[in-house]
Amino acid sequence: MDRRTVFAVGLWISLGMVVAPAACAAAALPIDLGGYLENRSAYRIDDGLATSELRTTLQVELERAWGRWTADGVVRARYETKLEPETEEELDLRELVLTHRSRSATVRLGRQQVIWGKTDGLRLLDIVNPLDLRELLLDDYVDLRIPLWMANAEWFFGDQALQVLVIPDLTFDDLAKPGGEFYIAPDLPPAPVPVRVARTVEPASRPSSWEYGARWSGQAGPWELTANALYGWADDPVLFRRLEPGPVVRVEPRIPRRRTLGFSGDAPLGPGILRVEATYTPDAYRDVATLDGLGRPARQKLVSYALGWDWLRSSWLISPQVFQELVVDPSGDLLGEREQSFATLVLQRKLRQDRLTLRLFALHGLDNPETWISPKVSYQWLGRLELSLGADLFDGASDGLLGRFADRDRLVLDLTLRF
Amino acid sequence: MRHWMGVPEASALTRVVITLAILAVPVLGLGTAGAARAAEESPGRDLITRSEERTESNTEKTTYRMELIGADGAVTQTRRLEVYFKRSEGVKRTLQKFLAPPVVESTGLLVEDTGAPVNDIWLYLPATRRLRRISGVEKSNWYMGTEFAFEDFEGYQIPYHDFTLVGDDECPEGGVCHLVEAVPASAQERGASGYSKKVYWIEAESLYPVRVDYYGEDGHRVKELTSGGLEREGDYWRPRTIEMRNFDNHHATRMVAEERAVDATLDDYYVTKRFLRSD
Repeated sequence: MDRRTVFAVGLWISLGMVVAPAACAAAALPIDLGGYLENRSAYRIDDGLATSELRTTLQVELERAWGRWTADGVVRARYETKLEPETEEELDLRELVLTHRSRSATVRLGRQQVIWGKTDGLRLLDIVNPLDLRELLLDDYVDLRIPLWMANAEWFFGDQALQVLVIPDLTFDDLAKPGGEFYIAPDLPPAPVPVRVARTVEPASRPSSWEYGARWSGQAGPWELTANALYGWADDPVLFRRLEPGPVVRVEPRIPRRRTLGFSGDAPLGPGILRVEATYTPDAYRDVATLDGLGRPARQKLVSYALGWDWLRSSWLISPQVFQELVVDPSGDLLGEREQSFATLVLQRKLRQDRLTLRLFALHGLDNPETWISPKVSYQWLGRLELSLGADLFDGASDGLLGRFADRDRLVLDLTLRF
Repeated sequence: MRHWMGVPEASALTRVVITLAILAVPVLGLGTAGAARAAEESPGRDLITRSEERTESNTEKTTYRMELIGADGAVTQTRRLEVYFKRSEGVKRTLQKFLAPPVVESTGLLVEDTGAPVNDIWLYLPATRRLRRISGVEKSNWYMGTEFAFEDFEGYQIPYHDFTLVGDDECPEGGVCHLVEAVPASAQERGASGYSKKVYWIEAESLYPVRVDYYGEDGHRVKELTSGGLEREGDYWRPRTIEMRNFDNHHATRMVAEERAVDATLDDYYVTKRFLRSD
């Protein structure tokens, strides 16, 4: 641990010592104050336990309620080093939401997360918020999601509800930078000439560019169902390219519009709960072959679905899932696979009056065998302090989505103080 | 983090109600199927039916202090939670929401009982901000590190048990108790329940079940629930403390009622998934 890191850790601990009395003071005010101070250290297993991430986070959560109104704010300060070439110091107003609840509706205005869908580990319908993918999907989704400014209204009619989203905030996935621990290089066909990558073309912020979403939820017999629609943008740029005089390959990353329709449902099945989720988008882009060998992204129809089953038995949770993504009626000669299938498994056991948690998450590619296994053990003290030790282990072909990180296996130590 | 609708918080605390528990409010009542079985009169069933009528309110809200007690008798964690109960249109809904400590704050559970043998259950975990449906079939699952299992929140389940009056004994806090043995009456209930038998100690004056003995599959007593400090709340008797003791792991869970309102006005909102997922 270098001197700067020691300084940063010390700084945050000091801040925590400031926050604790502040929390006590807030207790005297009509404000709920909560949050956490967390330190994460990750070490590469294959590289003599070299440090691969150091991160200290202070998150303060405030809530003030009066009558039918509630105001919530989440501020996060974070110091992070080693994960990417540049140290990141962030002070972020992560969420700021004004909520009005009436007998038949809830209206939420502000920067917020909206969580759709019922899958774990991989997301199909959980597409409203972009993600911070600088650490792949190794963190909790509630931390990975990038909150968006939006209007979010939901009306309730008996067992049914209708939610409408208007999202003027055009923010996209935060991807790892070159040199980062989990950087994924653009998947371009090998070009015989130099490649020049232009700046990403993002949509201008005007009402015609905003994102709009709707969700119906209701019940049918034992099924709890939702139907979802999002008129949005792809979260990651599509790499359009052309050969220019020089010769040089000019790559123009562009964010295209994306329409998504989907549904989700769950119902009791045997001793557990069956979960299903599916999406259809006519605006997915996949590379197809071209005569010049460069390939080009072409619009495709994409169907994705997931099936999962949760079995809670005594202190155990057993939750297997399968995911499949399929290009329907491909336009052109696809350069990649037409189908991608994954299976996941969550095994969790809680012991010692829920203070000790043992958890295993495993994700396995069924078409191109590759694996991510994440075992974790956590222990809680005094209802506010939690220590967890886990690992992220990757295996597979070196050009696979997960296999490329086979030399990035890591141990992760988290220490969290909640207040 | 609490949300109240339409009423100032102070008045809400005085008019809303609930109770967790098992005994504090037997949550399952007589459904259609139960009416037929209830007609099969026996002294035990009659006593249990009268006990349920005397203890079950229409709405209830209780704030509890919950203590998790280890095998050495020391309190390992103290929690606070609110429990809301409402009976309307033949459906009984119970919602529990933890207020403290921070590791469990805003975690909640909603149980919907339509009179069917299996309840609908939803769990909200603030760490994922997701509502997770839980199968009501696995009744013997432990709940949130306590010594309570999901089925302990179901109350008498009159339609699905046979009841036998087995005698009288002295109650834990004095007075006469009638002892009623309950055994699952159907193969489905036998398969779903973690208990082969329960013995209710019904206090003769209040008809409140002040003690319950739970027996495992092999016939030995696995848990004991005691309710202490009975006090009058409007038309009902309610215990001030509830303690579940587990004889296998020697752990216990004690719940102390700090505030309670019985049959006060309770907006439907407080027993909905909408309230459950409001952090």
